[in-house]
Parts: sequence; C-alpha cells; structure tokens
Amino acid sequence: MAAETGTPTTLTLKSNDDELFSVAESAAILSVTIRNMVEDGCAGGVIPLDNVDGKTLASVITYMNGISAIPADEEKKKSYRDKFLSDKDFETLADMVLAANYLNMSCLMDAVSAKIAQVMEKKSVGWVRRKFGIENDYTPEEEAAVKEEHKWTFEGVETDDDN
Amino acid sequence: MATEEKRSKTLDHLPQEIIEEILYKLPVKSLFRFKCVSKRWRFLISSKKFAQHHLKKSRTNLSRQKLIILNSDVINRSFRSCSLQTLIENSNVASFDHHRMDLRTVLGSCNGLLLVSVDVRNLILWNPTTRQAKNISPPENRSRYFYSDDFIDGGSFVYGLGYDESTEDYKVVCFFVEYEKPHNTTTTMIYSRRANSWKRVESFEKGFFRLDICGTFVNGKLHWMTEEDKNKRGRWDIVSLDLAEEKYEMVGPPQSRTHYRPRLHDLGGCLSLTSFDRNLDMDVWVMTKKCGEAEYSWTRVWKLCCDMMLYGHRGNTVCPLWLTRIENGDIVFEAKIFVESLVSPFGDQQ
Repeated sequence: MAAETGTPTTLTLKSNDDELFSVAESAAILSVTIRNMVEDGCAGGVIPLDNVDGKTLASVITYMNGISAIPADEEKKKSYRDKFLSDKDFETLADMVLAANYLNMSCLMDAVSAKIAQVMEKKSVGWVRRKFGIENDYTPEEEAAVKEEHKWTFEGVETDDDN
Repeated sequence: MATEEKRSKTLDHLPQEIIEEILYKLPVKSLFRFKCVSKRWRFLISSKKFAQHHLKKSRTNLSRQKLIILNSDVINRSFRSCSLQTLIENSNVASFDHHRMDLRTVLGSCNGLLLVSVDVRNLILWNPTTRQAKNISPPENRSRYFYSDDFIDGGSFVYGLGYDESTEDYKVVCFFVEYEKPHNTTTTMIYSRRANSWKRVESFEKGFFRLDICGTFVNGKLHWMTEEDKNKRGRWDIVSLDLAEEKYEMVGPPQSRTHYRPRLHDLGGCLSLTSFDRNLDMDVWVMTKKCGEAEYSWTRVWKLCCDMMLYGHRGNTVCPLWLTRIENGDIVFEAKIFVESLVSPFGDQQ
C-alpha cells in the first residue's frame, strides 16, 4: 500500500455508516487521532472511524482539505473557518463538535464550540433545554427564585425559532 | 421522524467536557441566564473552577475585554464600556454598555474586578459584568488627616488591585502618604477579600510614589513608579510588590534613553512601559526574562509616530488609550480595560 516517493499519500477513511472517503494524508493528519494511527502503521487499508457518520465525515474532510490548502496565515485560516461554519445549523454543529473531539482536532473543536456558543448567546432557557435534551429538575418555585436573582439577564432574549 | 430522534439523541450525549468547552465561550449574561436550565448547570456555572476556566478563555477574546469610558462631568457621573473587538472593527463606536455606578475614579482592574472610589475615602470592589459590588470600609488610620475633611491637603492615596494566586485571594494595596512630616511618611495597608479586612504592612522607603498613578498588576506583582526625590521630576524607578510574599523589589527601567511621561502597562501578561522621546514619538518597551536567567531585560517592541496614536487625557497630560498585541500586528492603546468574568467581589461560593 505504501506510496511511491514523491506522490502524495492518500488515506481511505470509513464512517460508521460504511461510507468510504479518500483524503490526502497531509490533510487527514490534522486529526491527531488519524496521525497516531498513521504513525503506528495502522493506516494501511481502510481507517474505520466508528464515532463519525458519513454526512459529518464528508463535512470534516471538506474542512481538512480547505484549511490545509491555506499557507501559515492565521488570519486567512480564521476567515476560512468562519465561512465554513456560517451556514451550519445547530444539529450539524453538534455532530461536528463530537467528531472534532473524537478526531482530536483542536482548531476545529475550538471554532465549532465558539460557533455553538454564538448561536446560544441570546437564546431562551427553554431553547437550550430542548436542544441539549436537558430535563428541568427545578420546582417552579426554585426556578422562579433563580430567575429572580438574575432578572436582568432575561432582557434581550430572542424569540425561540425551533417551534 | 427517525432522523429527528437520532439528532436529539446526539445532543443528549454531548459529553460533559464538550458542554463545558462551549459554555466557557459564552458571555457572562448568557451564563447567568442558563443557571435556570438545570440544577447541574447552575452548580457548574457557579463553581470556582468554571469561573477560572471562563476567565482564561475570555482573556484571549477581544469581544470579552472592555474599554472603560468615564464621563468626566462632575454632576452627572456615568460609566460606559465597549468591547475592544468593536473598537478594532469600527472606530465610530455605537454600542456601549451603560453601567449604573456613581463612581469617581477607577483605581485598579484585575480579572474582571474593578477597584473604584465613590468618594475620597470609600472604595468598592465591583464586577461590572455580573453587577456585583462590595463596599470596602476604609482602613483604620491613626493619621489626623485621614478622618478630617481637608485631609487631601495633608495626604494622598496610591492604590493597586491584584490577585494572589498562592492563597487565591484578591488584594488591595493602599499607600497613604502624608506630606507634612519630614520625608513623606507612608502608611501601607493591604486589604484581603477573603479576610474582608485591612492589615498594616511594611512600607516602601527607597523612594516616593508618583501620586497620580495606580499600580499595574502583572504576574502576581503590583508595579508602581517611584522617584528618588519628590521635588525633582527626574530620576525615576519601578518598584514591584509581590502579593504572595508581600515583599518589594526594585525593577530598573530601560537604560540609556530619556523617557518623557513614562507609564506602566500590562501587555499580554508582560510588564510594559510607554514613554515619549524628544519628537513626541512613543516607544513601547516590554520587560522579559530569559529562560533560566534571573535578570530581567527591556526590549523596545515598537516605535510609534505621534500621528498614529489615539490619545486620551489624564490630568493635563496625554496618555495612550489602549495598548495590546494582537496576532497580526500593532494596535491602538491603553486606558483601563476589564475582562468579562464571573469572579465575585464577595469571595468564592464553594
């Protein structure tokens, strides 16, 4: 499987729903998880990524290719990341953050979690509970008391867009 | 429906460390609101550890750092702030936060807490972001000037606010300088947030404090400028006070150059000095310590022509408005900046 000297090595990645993707090794090793596999010699053949589905992996690979094509210019990389994440919905972002965590890609992890925070910033408490699947374990009295304590933080909250 | 179920399941299973990573990037206002989400979130957001991580992230985020703008109108005093990000993106700043605090002046800024004075004697430790404020009663002082109405004629205060990492405590240093006695007698007191009280400590005796300048907190130490002779504005020096050991140390300023209107700053965690040369161009110096060496050295990092600068007025002199180093270059300048933080003026909740 070893590539000839001078030609770029290509890796094959497999998602948990059995989709196969080809990606240049130089781009794929942005993922520390993949880099470790390559260094340990486990990258011959197909690399199974059991925690990432095909749709998310395709997106991550687009990012890997895009960001590795940019020379060392932090400003340009940042604007690429901003543009890459600008049209992603909340669910996609959540899938991406899980994938970035599993693949150990700190720059993507940082950018996606910042984007999620940006989306959440002006949302209501109810919106956050629904999106994160969190059960309200306050009694109505307790919740009212916590809310009363931080009343000013409920100014300027957006109307929920998920109903 | 099937995808819907799968998706909400994904979000349910976001590991705790990822949720925390996301929350660290939220502004304080959102975090306070999200204490209502669940008891677990409330516990998390209220914890000291969370506040520390959040502060660390906020320090490197220009949107979370705020420039303080004081209205100098004596009758109608007010305080506004705007984020440094806004300043960089658009110099015609339109979005200010208005803060309700009738303050006289800002005497120190550290980890999101401001030390402000509301009148000549009374101090407040205030987090403008969380809107928590704590009155600090003035230190006991035997000076007859201290409690009299005209004590400003007889003495003056020099302050500093800093954080002592060894005890995880915020400390206010107050030098009370009396003019009348020979050699400007100085009484030095340190206030501890934890103890909520003042104690008297040894005074610095090798020079005179410049009275109009508050301490600059960098790396566990507060720094002030001192003069050899209070009557001659000439040779000056820098003294540091280690907040853990409560010991003074002299820090030599950059040599071989005449400095006009020197000022100390915190530049990304390094002690920095700005001064003007004869042409009124500004030099920006940074103090660095080489690995393994005990000696500090000063490096001039920028020279700025005077027409590049944005000035603010302080007394009858001009000083740079804001000074910071961002990834891609040399940007504008210093006034008082505070970072958005969850740090409580009252002490730790757990």
